[in-house]
Amino acid sequence: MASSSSSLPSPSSSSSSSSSKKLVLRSSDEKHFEVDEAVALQSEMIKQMVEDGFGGDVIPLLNVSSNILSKVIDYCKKHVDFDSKKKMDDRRRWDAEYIDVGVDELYHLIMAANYRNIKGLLDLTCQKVADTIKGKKPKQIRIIFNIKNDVTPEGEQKIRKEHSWAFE
Amino acid sequence: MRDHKELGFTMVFISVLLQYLGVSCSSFGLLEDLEKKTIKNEKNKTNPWCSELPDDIIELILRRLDVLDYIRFYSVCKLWRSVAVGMDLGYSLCCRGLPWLMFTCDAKTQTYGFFSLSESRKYYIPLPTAGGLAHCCGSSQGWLLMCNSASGGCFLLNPFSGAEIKLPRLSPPLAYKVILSNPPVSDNTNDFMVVAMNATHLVFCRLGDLKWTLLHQPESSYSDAIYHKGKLYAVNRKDELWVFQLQGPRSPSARKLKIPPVDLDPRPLGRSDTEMMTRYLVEPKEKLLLVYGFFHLIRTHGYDSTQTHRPCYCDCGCDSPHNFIFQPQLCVKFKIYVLDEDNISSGSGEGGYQWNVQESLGNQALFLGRNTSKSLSATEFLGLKENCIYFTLNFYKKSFDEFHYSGIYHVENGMVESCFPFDPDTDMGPPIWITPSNSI
Repeated sequence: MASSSSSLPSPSSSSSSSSSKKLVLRSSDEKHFEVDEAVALQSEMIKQMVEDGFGGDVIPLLNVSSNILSKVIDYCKKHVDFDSKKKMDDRRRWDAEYIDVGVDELYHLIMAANYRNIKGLLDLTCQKVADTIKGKKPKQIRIIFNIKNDVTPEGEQKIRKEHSWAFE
Repeated sequence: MRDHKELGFTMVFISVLLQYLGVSCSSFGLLEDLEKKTIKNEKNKTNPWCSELPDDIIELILRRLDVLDYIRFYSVCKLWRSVAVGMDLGYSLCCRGLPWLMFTCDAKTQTYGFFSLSESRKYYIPLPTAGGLAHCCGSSQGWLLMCNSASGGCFLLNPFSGAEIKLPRLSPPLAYKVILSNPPVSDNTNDFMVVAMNATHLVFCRLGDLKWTLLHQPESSYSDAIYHKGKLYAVNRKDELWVFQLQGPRSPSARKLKIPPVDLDPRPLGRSDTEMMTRYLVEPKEKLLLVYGFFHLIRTHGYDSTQTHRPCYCDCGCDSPHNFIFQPQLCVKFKIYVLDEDNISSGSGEGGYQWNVQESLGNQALFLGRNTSKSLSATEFLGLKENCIYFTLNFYKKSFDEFHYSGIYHVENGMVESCFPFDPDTDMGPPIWITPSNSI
């Protein structure tokens, strides 16, 4: 989040939500979300669009569904709040609870964070994937992520031969 | 894949622009294609994790894994493998993860034994052929410096990938510490420099050099060295700290700094065969720490009915062989100083620098021993104990067998605990910390 915090509005403007500017985001399934500009600007992509003059109308998000968008907005709202208070422990605790989701939702959150260019959320989601993988064998990882093994037996044999110790 | 993302980005941008201008998106061919593709993928019901996850996302995930998880990760599916293999992860991987403890380097069984702190388990990795003939002279950035004590032949070895980098012959064929300026990955080999130290010499070489260059020949041998803010700092047993400017012009410059007098409590007893003092340099969070380690081996004896007529080196004063065995007890104490770089008085000479005693390491943990000293933040690594020193120790004293130990020293109260389940039958070698790297 550090990279975007400097360009965020000052805490006073984000906390007085009644007077701050609103933006309307539209999900891929045509649902509309009205959010504070400061919240939407957590996304580098939206920020760029607003700077280029697209702030006055509905901003369509073609490949983000409403349930994922609402979750992403939750994140951005909370982090605007965190940026103004700088409570690291609270942030960590909230993030940990927030990211406790299934792999399908996690995938869509990653894609949304990547596509909307929300660095903090991208870091959080990728870290979650890494933490899920850590210490597990390929077979276990495939089960968790519901991945079909498409590596040929010969290919797998080769990897195992090169690094047999890692599979013990 | 990155192009796709940019394409997607551009198309969304165009769609917004068109919507803004009141034009329907569907009339735009590119967007139709995009929609078709999405529908097709939904029909296929392919799992997006192994079919659509963008390369740069896979890269972001890989950068958060250590070498073991990296190998397992790329065995999961073709897409993940293609990204992992095609990426130069050398630098990032070797800076990630907790150090592993190499506790044996056994030529007889042809294996290295490692203990992974994060997983609390041992791994045995086959020894490359050349490694079997050489002995390990230290570790740095995931690589071991190996040297053949007969021929002086010398190379860097990554025990996890088996990769080797040939270095000039060392003469005398011995070193006890190696410091790499940076990991030897392909894009920055120009700056890459290997510094090695032995009892009488501090030497360095660059890749492709035919011989080592003498950096300094001190009156007393060096204990430790580390890169700090682009310069090499080295401390010797005569309590001199030398600063070398190695980068840039070919002939390095040197300067001597004052270091604090050792303040010991309790004072050593002066028994050279049971006491050892070591100096370490370590760089946590851009600060330079000088750490003194004091080790006192107290020899007690215990009864062993299976042994008879074994020489006893216990402290009871007896000197005739009898059937007691040697049971060492180790006393450990560390003292930490930090270089005060904010208050440097009139620059030149020895007196310009001030060292302050540091009572706590905060959330840092230090890894000291025959590795290039390392500092890690306990907040970043689950299971790492903060305000602790993870140390390895090798005693080579004439009066008893080699004594190796690896432990965790708690700075707060001076307590020492063992850092892995030691098995005296198999865990023979001198222990050494190494942070796994998959570079090259």
